[in-house]
Amino acid sequence: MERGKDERLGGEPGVEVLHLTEDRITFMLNNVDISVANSLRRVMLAEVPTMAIDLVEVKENTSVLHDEFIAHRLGLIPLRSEMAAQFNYARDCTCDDSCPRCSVKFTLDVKCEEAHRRNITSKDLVSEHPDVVPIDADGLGDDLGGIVIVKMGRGQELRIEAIARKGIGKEHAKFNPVGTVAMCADGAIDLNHDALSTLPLDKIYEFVNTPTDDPPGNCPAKVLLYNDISKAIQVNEQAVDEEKARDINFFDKMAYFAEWWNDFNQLKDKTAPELIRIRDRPDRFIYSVESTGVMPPALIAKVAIDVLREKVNQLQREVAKGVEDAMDGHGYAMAM
Amino acid sequence: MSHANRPESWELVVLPDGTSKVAFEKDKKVENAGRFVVEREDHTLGNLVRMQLLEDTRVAFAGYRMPHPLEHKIHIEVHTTANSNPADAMILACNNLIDKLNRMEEKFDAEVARKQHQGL
Repeated sequence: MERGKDERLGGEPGVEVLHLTEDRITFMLNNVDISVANSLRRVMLAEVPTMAIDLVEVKENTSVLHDEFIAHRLGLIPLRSEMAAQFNYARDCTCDDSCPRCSVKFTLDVKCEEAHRRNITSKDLVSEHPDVVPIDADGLGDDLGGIVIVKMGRGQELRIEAIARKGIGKEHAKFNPVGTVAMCADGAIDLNHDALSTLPLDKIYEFVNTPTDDPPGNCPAKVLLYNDISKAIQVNEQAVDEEKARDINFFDKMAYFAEWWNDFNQLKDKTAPELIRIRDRPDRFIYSVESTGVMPPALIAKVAIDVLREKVNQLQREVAKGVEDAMDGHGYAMAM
Repeated sequence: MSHANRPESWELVVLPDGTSKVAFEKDKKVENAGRFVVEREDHTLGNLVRMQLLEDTRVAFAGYRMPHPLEHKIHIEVHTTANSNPADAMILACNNLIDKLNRMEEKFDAEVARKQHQGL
C-alpha cells in the first residue's frame, strides 16, 4: 500500500534523554506530530496502570479521624507499582471478590502506648506482597520518614484491613503515577547580528551578562556570549542544551527576555528591527516527567508508549470487525 | 446521600455489556464516507488517529469529536477519495502509528540504557 504523505515529517521519530534522575526524566522527542506528543503526555498522566489501596475494612478505630477520612488517606498513599503489569484489573479477574492475581492485602494494626502521641505512618502498613509496598518516603517529608496517616493519643487504636488494586488515573487520581508531565515545543534562538552591532558596548554587555530571573531585561541564563575579538554576540548552544534540560520554561523565559530587548530597541524608532527572536520548533518536544515514586520515571514513559500502542492496536482490530457488522455480510462496494 | 447518583468511576474505562468497541456507520449520501463510533476512548486516541489519517493523500476529510463529555465515546469521521474507503484508511493509519510508536520505543529504550550506563 502507498504510504501517503507520511514522509512529510522526515520519517524516523527520535528520542534523546537529556536528564535522568531517580524521580525525574527529561527527554526530547523529535520528528513527531504534536498529536503524537500530546497523546503520549495524556497517557502518562491518566492511563499508566499503578496500584493503590481501593477497599478498606475498618475493624477498630478510636482515633480522632473518622473511618472515611482514614480510608481516603490510605488510598492516596503511593505504592511501588513496577509489578502492576503482572496484576489483573479486579473487574476482569476470574475470582469472585479478590485474589492474589488482582489484589494485595494490607493490614494496619496499631495501638498508641506512648505517653503522649504517636504518628501512624505508611511504615506501619504491612503488605502481603514483597514488591507492592508504600514508597520509601525517607527524606521527603519534614521528619521521620513515612507518610503520616493519622496522629494518635495514648490508648487510641486502629485496626484496618485494606486491599490494593490496579487502576489508572482516569478512574481516580490516586492511580496517577506522575506529579507533573510538562511538555513544550523545543525552541531556537535567532540573533539579528546587524541590529545588535548598532547597540552601544555597555548595552551589549548588559544584553549578554545578566543571568538572573528578573527583572525582565535580564537573560534567564548565561547562554549568550560576546566575543571581544570578532565583536559579535554568539549563542552558546551547549549552555542552551543544559538549560532546557534543567528548566522546561527556559524558552518561555527567553521569549520574555527577547520581547523586553526588542521593545527597548524600538523605543526611539518603532520600525527598528528585532534584536533577538525565539523561534518554536514544532516538530521537537521536550518532556519533563516527575514520578510520584511509584515507578522509575523512565518506566512511566515506556509503559505509556506501550499503552498508546495497545490502544491503536485495539482500534485497528475492532475497525475491521465494526465495518463487517455494519455491512452485514455485503461487500463494501455495495451502496446501501 | 450526596453521592446517590454519582457515576461509577470505571464507567469511562469499561465497555458496557452488549456494545462493540467500534461501530461503523456508512454515510447514506456520500460514497466512501462514514463515521466510526469508538466506545470508551477520548481525545488521546481521537486526535492521534485524526492527524494520522490526514497524512494519507487519499483521505479527503478526517475529523473527530467527543459528542458529550459525560458520554465516554468519540466519533471519527472519514471521507476518502474513490481509490480507498474509510476502513482501509483507518487500518493504514493505525498501521503507520503502530510503526511509529514501535520505533519510538526502541529509540527510547536505547537512550535510557545509554543514559543509565553513564550513571545517574
